[in-house]
Amino acid sequence: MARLFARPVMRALAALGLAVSLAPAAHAADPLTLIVPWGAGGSSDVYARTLALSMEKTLGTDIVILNRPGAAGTLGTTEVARAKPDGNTVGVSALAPFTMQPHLRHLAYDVSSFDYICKPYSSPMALVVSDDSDFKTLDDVIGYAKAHPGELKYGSPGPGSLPHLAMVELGQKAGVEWTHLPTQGGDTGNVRNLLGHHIDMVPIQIVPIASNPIRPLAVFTDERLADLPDVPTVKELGYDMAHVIWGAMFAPKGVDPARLAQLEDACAAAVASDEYQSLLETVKVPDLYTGMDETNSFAVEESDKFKRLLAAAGMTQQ
Amino acid sequence: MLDILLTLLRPDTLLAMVGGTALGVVVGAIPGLGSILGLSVVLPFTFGMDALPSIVLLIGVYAGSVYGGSVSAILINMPGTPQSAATSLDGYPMAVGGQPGLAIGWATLASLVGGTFSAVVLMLIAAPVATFSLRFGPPEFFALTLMALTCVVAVSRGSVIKGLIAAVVGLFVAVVGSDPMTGDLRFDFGVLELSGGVNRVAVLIGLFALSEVFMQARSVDTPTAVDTSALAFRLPPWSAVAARLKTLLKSCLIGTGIGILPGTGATAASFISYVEAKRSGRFRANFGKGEPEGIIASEAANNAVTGGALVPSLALGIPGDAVTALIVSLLIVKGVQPGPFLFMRDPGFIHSLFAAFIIINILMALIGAALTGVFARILAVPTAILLGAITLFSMIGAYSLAGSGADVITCLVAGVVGFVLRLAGVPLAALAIGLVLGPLVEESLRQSLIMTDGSFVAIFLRPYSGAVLVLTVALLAAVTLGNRGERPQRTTDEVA
Repeated sequence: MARLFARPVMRALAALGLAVSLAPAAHAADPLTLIVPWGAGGSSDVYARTLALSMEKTLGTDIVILNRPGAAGTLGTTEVARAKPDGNTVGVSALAPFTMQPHLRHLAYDVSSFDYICKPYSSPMALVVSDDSDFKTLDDVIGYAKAHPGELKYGSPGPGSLPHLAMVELGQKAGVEWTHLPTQGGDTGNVRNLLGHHIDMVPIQIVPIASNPIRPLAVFTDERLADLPDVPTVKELGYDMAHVIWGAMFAPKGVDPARLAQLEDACAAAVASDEYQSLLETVKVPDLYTGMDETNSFAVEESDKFKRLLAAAGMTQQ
Repeated sequence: MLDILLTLLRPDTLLAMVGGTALGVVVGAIPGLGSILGLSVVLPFTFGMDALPSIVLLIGVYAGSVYGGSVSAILINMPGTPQSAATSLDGYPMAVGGQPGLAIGWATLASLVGGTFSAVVLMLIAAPVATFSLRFGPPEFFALTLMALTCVVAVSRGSVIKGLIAAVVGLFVAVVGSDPMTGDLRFDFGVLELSGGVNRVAVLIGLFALSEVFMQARSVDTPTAVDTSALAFRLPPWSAVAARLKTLLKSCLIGTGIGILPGTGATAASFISYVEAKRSGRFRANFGKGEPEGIIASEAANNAVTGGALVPSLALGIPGDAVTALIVSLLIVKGVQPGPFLFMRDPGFIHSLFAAFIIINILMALIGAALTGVFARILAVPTAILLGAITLFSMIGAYSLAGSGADVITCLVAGVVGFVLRLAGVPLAALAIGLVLGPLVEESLRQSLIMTDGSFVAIFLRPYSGAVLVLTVALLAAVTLGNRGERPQRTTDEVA
């Protein structure tokens, strides 16, 4: 995933470098700190930096981006949870640290510790097989899995990751058993194992599909994707479920509502900006922006869903 | 051919190659600062640059930093980057023996040959090799890590038991954090920072740079006599090189091979190559006492990894480590999609990249030669000041990994532990091998057991994993028999 996003990072980094070097005299207001609980160059980082380009202009303040990776994103997210709720420290991350990790580890926060200002990105996943696979449709896969329980192996970037839980849910809905083979190294590590026939299938994001001899069988989004118009959704194939790797900008609870509204407006304007839209196009991510109210309730729904799926996956509940 | 040359002679490409390589050499030479830090420094400059210059900028920093680490490994026994840790084993004794300039000359020559060799491999057989490497799945990786772990026995001069203990400690440190298969947290003691695992680079910085600072601090009042006449960069004579040609070529092969496979990297490659040279080299009796063959084994291998790692990155779009991951991501956003089709669709770009890679290796050697005089002056810096500066750089380097104070503490603890282990005569190289390979050992073993329904035997009932296992047993037998003739030596500066 990380590898897909470098140009905007560069652009953002360069702009940020300029901003940092030129700006201090220009802005009197306190800088806004965006904590990204992942490494520089990772997908959340790229989205955050591209958002910052436009938000600096709208808000008229400097934006400082702090990368605080570690412990599956929970270190940086804890830092956001503990920050003073003055509206000058917010986090930007994909969903796992606030919707999944609280079910897995003892943390100083849970999903209700934050206000979710906006949902700037939602990266779709597709279930793929290698080009030379006998499986042409999702029905082929499920038919085979029914006849051969546990034989098919699917990859994921790690236990408790969204691709893992999506396959757990699909297995439940289809009434089949398959074997999980997690691999570090994200989508690329899984594509490698797929091409080497060490796994049979894996849910990945959209960009690698065009550049590798792999075939998408179904997408996990609510609706078909513009980039893959012929690929059916899991839902239309009869399995009532949907997953997308969404990210939010979030603030610790207790920030003044007027400030939250200001940040929400700035986020909306940033998502609509040319830079951000061209980023979405490059990484084949549809614009599924939602504002604060909708994102707040969505976060809670997702957290409940993952609690159920993590239990189904037999993962430690603490 | 001519147009390739012309693209490379464009001012922006040229500047990127020279600037990137020079920065890489300098960052690599400073203990504590490494490849990743160098890359984060240049990343913003690729804004607005074309695909080729921005890629060669990153590759220059990458290759330069891997080479630069050898300079401080040789001069002050503190590898500038973990990738050069094995270089200090013979490089430092050679420098102490009065030939620092020549030791750097050997390292430079070996890096040049290793890097260029891997570039040629990249150029000639990238696509088929990358495709073949896909057949290596979890069982094959487990077999390979087993083979690499047997190196522990060979680097454990003095006491094999101490070496094995150190390796197990290294493997254990790598176990802290979240279980790769189930997600369960292990050995985190309720500390949030530990639940993400121990930062291995921070450990390596502490283990090699800080612990050496502590060692030298014990005798800081002793003035070091510096023979300034030997500081000048000197290439070894051809006859000396010719006598060690076999090791040089073998190290190139080991480095390139390890580079092609994901997850292992230059640190492991240099140790494995060093061990192999120590087993089979013509001058093996002198290893550890300043034998150039030890320097070339380590340096040829770690620089050969750079080209090797680019093979799957370009031919499959599948990077093997953090550095090549960054290069692949940059290529994609510059509109160049790495993968099997790249070689057909855009051969001009690929050939320019190959040529640039070779030029970068030559530049690296030239820059290294030119800077040796400057670097060597650090020997004239009062030890107390030098040790203080290195401690500072190590802390900065550890903090810069993730902006986390926990990593600084990790680095300090590793420094103290390394110091104690050095005093006890425990080979740090063995610990480093365990630590570096730990996650791959665990992941590949657990994945293999999933694939074989829990059968350990079935892991090796595949052609390639079986072959690797047979080779491992043969190597182990050879090393054990070879060691039998040597009298065990016990010295406290059995460092690594």
